[in-house]
Amino acid sequence: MFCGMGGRKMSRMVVENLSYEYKKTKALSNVDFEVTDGLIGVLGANGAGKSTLMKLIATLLKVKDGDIRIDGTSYKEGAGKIRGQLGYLPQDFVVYESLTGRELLDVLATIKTNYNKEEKNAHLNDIIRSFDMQDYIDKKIKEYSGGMKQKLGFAQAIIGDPKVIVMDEPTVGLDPEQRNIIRDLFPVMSKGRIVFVTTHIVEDIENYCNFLLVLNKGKLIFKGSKDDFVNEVKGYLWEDILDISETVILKNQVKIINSIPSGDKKRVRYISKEKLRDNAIAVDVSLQDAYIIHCALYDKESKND
Amino acid sequence: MISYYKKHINNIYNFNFFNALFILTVILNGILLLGVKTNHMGFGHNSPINNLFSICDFYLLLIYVVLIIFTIGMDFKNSMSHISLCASKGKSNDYMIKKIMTIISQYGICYGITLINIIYCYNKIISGNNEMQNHLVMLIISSVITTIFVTSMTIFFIVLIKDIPKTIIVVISLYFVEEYLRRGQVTRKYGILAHRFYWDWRNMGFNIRVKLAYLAASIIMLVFSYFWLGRGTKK
Repeated sequence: MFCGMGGRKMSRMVVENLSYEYKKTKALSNVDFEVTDGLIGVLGANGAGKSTLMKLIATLLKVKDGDIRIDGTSYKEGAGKIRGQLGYLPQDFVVYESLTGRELLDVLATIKTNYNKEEKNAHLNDIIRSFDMQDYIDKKIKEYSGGMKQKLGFAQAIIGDPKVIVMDEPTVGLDPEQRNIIRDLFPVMSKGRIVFVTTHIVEDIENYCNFLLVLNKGKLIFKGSKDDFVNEVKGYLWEDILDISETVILKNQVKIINSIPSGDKKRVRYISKEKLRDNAIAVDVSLQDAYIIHCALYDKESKND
Repeated sequence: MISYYKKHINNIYNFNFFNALFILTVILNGILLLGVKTNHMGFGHNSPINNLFSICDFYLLLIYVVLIIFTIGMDFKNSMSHISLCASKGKSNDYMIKKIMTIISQYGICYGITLINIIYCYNKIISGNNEMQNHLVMLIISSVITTIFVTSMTIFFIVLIKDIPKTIIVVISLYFVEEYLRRGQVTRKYGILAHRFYWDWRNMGFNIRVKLAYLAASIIMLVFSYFWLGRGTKK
């Protein structure tokens, strides 16, 4: 019932020249992209503008410069027209701990949908089953673990079968096991709708996202598929075994991603367009490496400009 | 809708505030009514009837003001203000507006009981004295407008400040400053705010324009609050 595949046509979101300023600080600058149903990973360091972009999409900030459109409906026509098609999971998901999970979902379903009591209960039971929350949904939220709370956050975001769901850093503060459980829910969430997931942890989206947006200092430095993201910087990552003095010299020439002690030397990985030393070997670029390389190249270009 | 949100607010606090306050109001009004019926209680500056009205009206309002501040303020402290805003179907935050309306409706019931009781008791005591009848009208207008103003001011400041302790300090101090200004030499003539009825008011005069200015200010504050609730940014 809630998975959004019941004959609904594919949604399309277009973001055009979107900029946003907090007083005198530019948080976003001329962001442009177009996405359809699927999981959209939004990567960026802290302060890159991810949360600002998500708040704009979630109508929590007013779009002033540029525009966002969902299936042709512009955000500038008024937030009222967009709300109700949205689900939102904020960065710190804190709700009334004295309520049970079901009570929280019930009140949000009452605001969000026009279902009668039977329809509402059926809809909520469907969601609860999908997220496997039957065992604890009637317990008070204060008794939930971090992962259970986050599952509840996912469940509330999907109420009313929204076209777009915005999840701001959904895995922050979770232990590795809980993080895996939460990540496995991404495919359920993104079935038949656009789901944005912001993170600075690349593993969170590595296996699930269909489209990638990478922000750096308020600018969109990449939009496209994961494969394109990695392929664009293939051949930029090198590994070499160096002693300390060589490492210091190399550090002044290029950006070193990591250096791991190896005997009395160091195994150094660095970013360079070309091979700098004969012994250096080209390394396969992972998504995380690609993210670091893209950001480093962008910073270098910005400095040169 | 009201009963659904009433239950929801009670669940949040794990305590049935509304029933407790309703019972308290009924008991206090019962005592008042009984006092008038059995003892032929008089109505003057320090009379029990006046003090009881203060308890039912003035103190009850303060309790509900604090309830509004906490109920709405907590949403700003947790994720509910943002989640419910995205879930809303309109320009403003449906969830928070419905919670405010629920609290006001429950206060309205308690206030209505008190007002009807006071009018009944007053008429019983004064029995056809025209001069005193005029004072009753003053008392009702003053009390209703003050109640509307203080409630609007509370909603306005909690939506603006989004912080429970700061709002409590601002609203309570503004309220008390206004109440005490009324007793000052400069402003007493115009009756800035009025909850407690003072017998010597009969020589003070009554300026309806001041009351209407408060009513207009209340409407403006409520309109601003409606639109501010629809904006998601935190200060």
